[in-house]
Amino acid sequence: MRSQTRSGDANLSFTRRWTSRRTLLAIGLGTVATAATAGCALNNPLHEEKTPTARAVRDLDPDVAVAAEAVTLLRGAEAAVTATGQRHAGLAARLAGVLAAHQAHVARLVDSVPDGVDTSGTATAYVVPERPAAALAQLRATEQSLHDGLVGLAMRARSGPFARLLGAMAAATSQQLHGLAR
Amino acid sequence: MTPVEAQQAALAGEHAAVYLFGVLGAQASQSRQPALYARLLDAFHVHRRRRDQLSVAIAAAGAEPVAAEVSYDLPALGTPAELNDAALQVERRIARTYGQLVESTAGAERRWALVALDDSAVRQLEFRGTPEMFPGTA
Repeated sequence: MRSQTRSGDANLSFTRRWTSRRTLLAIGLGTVATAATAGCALNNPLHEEKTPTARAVRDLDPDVAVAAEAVTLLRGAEAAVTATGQRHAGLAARLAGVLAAHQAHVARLVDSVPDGVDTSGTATAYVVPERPAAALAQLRATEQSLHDGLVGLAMRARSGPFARLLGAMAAATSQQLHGLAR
Repeated sequence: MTPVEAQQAALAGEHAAVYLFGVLGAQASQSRQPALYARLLDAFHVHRRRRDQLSVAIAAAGAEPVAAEVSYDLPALGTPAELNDAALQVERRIARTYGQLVESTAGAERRWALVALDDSAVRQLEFRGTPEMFPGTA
């Protein structure tokens, strides 16, 4: 698809190097350190008390908070997929791709946040419907909710590369939803 | 990359996509490959709409929207499989362009880019693409 009249295929090419995962949230490091030493951050490495992630990230850098929220969303969806696959073994193979995507996304996010930030997440209990069709329908709704949540977080992200990462995760979730709908 | 530069890159990509999907649609047979034809036609309409929306947004920002090239290099287009492959390639490239747009914008522009990225990622599956872990980033 290279232009015949101008040089290169810059119109569709993408040559920008993917930003290091560690640098995505580098801006948060300073804030985390400051907050931790000031004793006002929750779940910081200098504080033994563990608290829910949603509260823990409240005082941290905005993008660290966004990352932690994304991890919580993803872990909740991952738990829903796992529970659905365990309850309905016939669906397990169909859910493998969804589960792999969630795990890859969580791994990328956990790798992105500064050391010491609690990304364990707190998934709520997920009740799987008795009938497979209903279970799949409920799971689709859960995945749609995850997608919408990721889009919302991408909108909140201050770092452009991090917004792109979250947008990519949302798009990947849409692809999986497309597969679940078939 | 500034927001307008990213929009210009996306517009250039959409110019190419509109051109290519026009050619791909012309190569497909509506009677013999109705499903493929319908997908190509739908993609053509979507990309034309996005091209127009980007042109308006860039002009509203006070810049001159980039023009389309006179023509674009075409891949081999002899079979339905080759038409599918070419369409998939276009969608993958445009998804990366929208990934860049997400990265370079904020607010309404970013939301628009997120929708476009999402749509392109799903459209890849319609052209026999497989789900990716991070569409629009590689």
